[in-house]
Amino acid sequence: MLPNYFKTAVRNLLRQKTYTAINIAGLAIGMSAFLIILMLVHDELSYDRFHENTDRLYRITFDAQLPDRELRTARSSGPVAPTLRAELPEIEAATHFRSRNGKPTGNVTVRYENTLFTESRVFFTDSSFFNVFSIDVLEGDPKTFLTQPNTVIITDDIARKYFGAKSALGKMLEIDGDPPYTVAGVVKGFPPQSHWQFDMLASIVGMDIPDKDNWINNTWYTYVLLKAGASPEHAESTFQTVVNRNIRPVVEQILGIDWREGEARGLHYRYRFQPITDVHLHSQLDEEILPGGNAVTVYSLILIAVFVLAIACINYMNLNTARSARRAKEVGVRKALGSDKSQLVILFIGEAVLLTAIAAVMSFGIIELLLPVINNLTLKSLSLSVFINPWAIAGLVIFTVSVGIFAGSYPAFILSAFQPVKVLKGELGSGMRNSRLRNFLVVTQFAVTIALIIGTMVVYNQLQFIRTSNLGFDQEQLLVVDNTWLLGRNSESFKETLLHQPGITGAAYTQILPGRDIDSGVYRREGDESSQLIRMRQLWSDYDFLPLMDIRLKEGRYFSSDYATDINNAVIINESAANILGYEQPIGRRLVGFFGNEQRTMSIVGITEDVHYEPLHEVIYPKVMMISRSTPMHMVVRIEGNINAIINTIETHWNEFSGGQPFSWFFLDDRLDQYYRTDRAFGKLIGIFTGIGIFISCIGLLGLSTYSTEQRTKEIGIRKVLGASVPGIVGLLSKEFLKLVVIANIIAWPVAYVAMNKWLEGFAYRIDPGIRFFVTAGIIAILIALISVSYQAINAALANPGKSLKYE
Amino acid sequence: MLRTINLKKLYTTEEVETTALNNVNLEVHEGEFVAIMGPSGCGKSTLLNILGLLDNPSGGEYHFLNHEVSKHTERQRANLRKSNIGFVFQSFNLIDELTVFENVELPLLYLGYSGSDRKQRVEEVLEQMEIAHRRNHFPQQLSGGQQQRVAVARAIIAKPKLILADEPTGNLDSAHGDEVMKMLTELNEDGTTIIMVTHAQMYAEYAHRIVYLFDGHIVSENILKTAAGVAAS
Repeated sequence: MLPNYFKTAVRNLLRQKTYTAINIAGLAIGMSAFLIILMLVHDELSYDRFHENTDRLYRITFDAQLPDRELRTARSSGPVAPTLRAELPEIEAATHFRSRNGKPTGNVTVRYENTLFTESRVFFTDSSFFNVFSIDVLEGDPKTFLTQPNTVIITDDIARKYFGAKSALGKMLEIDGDPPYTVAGVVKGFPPQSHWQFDMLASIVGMDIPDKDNWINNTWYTYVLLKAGASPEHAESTFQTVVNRNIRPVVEQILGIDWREGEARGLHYRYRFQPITDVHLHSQLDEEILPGGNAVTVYSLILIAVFVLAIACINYMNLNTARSARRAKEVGVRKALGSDKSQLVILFIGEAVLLTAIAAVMSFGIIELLLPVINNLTLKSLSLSVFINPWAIAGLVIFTVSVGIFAGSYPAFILSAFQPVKVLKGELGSGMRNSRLRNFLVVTQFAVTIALIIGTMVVYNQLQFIRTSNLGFDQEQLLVVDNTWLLGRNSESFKETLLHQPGITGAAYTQILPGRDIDSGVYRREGDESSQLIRMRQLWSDYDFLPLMDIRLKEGRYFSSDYATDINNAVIINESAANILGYEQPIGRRLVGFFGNEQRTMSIVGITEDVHYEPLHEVIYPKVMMISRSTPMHMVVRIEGNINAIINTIETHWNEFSGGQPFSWFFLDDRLDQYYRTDRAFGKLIGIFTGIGIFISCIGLLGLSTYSTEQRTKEIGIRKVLGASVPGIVGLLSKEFLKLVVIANIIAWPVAYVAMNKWLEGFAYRIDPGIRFFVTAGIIAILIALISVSYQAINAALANPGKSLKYE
Repeated sequence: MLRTINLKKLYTTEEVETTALNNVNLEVHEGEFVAIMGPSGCGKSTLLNILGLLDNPSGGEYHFLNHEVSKHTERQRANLRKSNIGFVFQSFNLIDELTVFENVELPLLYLGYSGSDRKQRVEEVLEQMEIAHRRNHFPQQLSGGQQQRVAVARAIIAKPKLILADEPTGNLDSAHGDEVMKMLTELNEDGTTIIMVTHAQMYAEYAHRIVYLFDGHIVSENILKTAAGVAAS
């Protein structure tokens, strides 16, 4: 029986080539979109699962509610790891690492022989690192890794970069001017699906790190491996008692509050055990080493994937019920000859599965074509090779068959229900004409399409809003020279020299660039010992930075070397800081700042406007600006004219003043742009998939209108004979589809509204998803429907009525 | 072979109830050749569909091969139908996507014959119908007469006890029509019971008996001859 079914199916498909092509194309495009999203989602969900004991790996994060602020950071303090090891029986291993300068990124300069490199992923740790993380060792004895002072473990990429094909073991590297480190091992770096990456791990053994024993400064990344069967909740609560014992006196002293009283007021100070697999998608903490993914994006993508596939399947259903008139005779004959309904259902579903299988094969070609675009957009390296394993192949087969069964089920049941008596006489079941289910399918299809159109427009407008938002400072034509601390005492001469070059209109040093460079400290109003400490973001720069950036003053003055006290005892604050400090007349008031063991009292000399120094995802923080006493990390140069010539000039002078240190530079707006890169990628992805959805919907509607006009040939003929006009008939035929599209709008709008508000919540500054998006999407959908339908309607209306009546 | 008692068929739409068959009492014996005649809309096709187990009556009884089948489910009817009844239609109703061979083979597939049995049986029947040389052609490539011969071949392939023919000559010219009637007569002579609906008096006269239907009633019967070995009732 099966070969007979197969033959009929193949011949049927070949006989109606256009229909078959449309059908296969729709399914293939839908399946490609689905599989690509599946690959993206799989990649996002597979983060940090490569460790041997992934399910027992936890990161220790810090979470505090203090009187004036909330702290949620990926980091913890120096004593956390050793204390966990010593005092918690459920800990199998614990380790911690930090960057050299205590910032989230590990920027250092590395010298090998006479060559200098700038590296950004260098961390300092000890041998406990290898008890927690799964690392593939390529060279060296792992038992000795990081047990000795001044040793370093490097990745194979770094080994190749520094030493080429030569063995790296025993080579000497100078890191930030420290006594040389000996390369003691070469390991494989983490795969891309890791929430953090390293290039070098340098030994912390014998190093004097000031906050090693300080419970208050959270500058370390701490990770633990729990023993099998241990409960992280229990470990967390045990550790809390240890933390309370150690931290309570310090916190009481610094904050000037009674701990118990504070707790009663809802304050807390906690370390948490965060499953390592939650970090990438479910962690929005401060000081993450790398920006994480976004769970909302992943879930939206899953939803879009299901939507697009559903549209493709509905399409198939509609096209095939549309074709069903042509298959009616076959059903009648087969039934008269003894086929029962279930055998026919198998026949039609089998046909759908066959078609889906062809579409699946084609979809791999489409994916192969689309992947470079997707990879470029998402900065991933997805490849079809993920499907080359038995599980994936089995999964694909099941997927294909399921799609086929799903898409084929509705036509199968419609067709197999035909009454042989009627279809052999050339009548179709009257139930075919006003199928509620088919209307439901069209409404669903259009609701999904409309929701996708709204989503695309909202995302696009939000990104446009960000791009054109006034950040409050002038970010154009600003070039950043990096690692300017390498200039040492030549920094001022370098700056002076640059200021005399043509095309350079200004230059200033800063420690903190706009973006996610974060530095914060605690302050108190002077003479108000009992008042609460206030954490504020700090910005260290030279005298010229604020005017250079065009950050405008609301009151007071900029820093000036005319005032001898500015270097140590002056601050400029932003409006938010002024508000939180609560002075009526802030200028001239004094703040006490805490810097390590030092306290400084400083006068407020100016108040700036609130500017978006951080990305627009974040609110504007209270900010304190001070003069940096050492040479800061970056120089910002405002340029005009021939960019290449200016960069060459700067490089020449850099070489002259730095003594040949590596020159690195970038444009500030490029860097700021990066913060919106994932949003933009998401915007483009949803745009692509919306386009696909619309395309498939159009095909479906075209098929359905063909069906509908076929059904009404006689009616159209009679109406024409009785004097109906062509526009009248087109209107008649289009009306029923338009009704469905209007219903689809009513369903899609609230769903899209809720979904888009959820996405926009990720931005502190956002557009209002106003009614215009919804109305526009509705109009687009109606136009699409009209264009798809009217082609058939006009054809039918123009046809010779005599012919259609005879046909009946 | 079959007997109907007060057979009724109503077609109901939302407002109108149409009586297609009203108290039809008909008995057909094994080996008989019965023609049913009557004007358009008299219920001929409805009766044939019920006799062929394609449709259930609205009332009355229908005994087929000693089974009361008027309340049978579709599946039960399909089972009785596929091994006992062959159909020949006015418009041939061959499946366009299947070749001559495959069309004729179809009933055997539903009866679960093995591949070699099917091949042998189809070849026999194609020879018998003198259409074997066209076995790999598709229906559209054949003349009307040839198509009807394929349809007859398909109807007899499973050696049914009963063949129902609905206007088998309706779409054929007289030469091909005669040919089909000759085939049906031969089949009847070999023992197959035949019930045929027709408009054409001259073809009806090939039958042993003509039943006249009018407005859903049997109005008269005309016995022309007696089938060999069958006693006329």
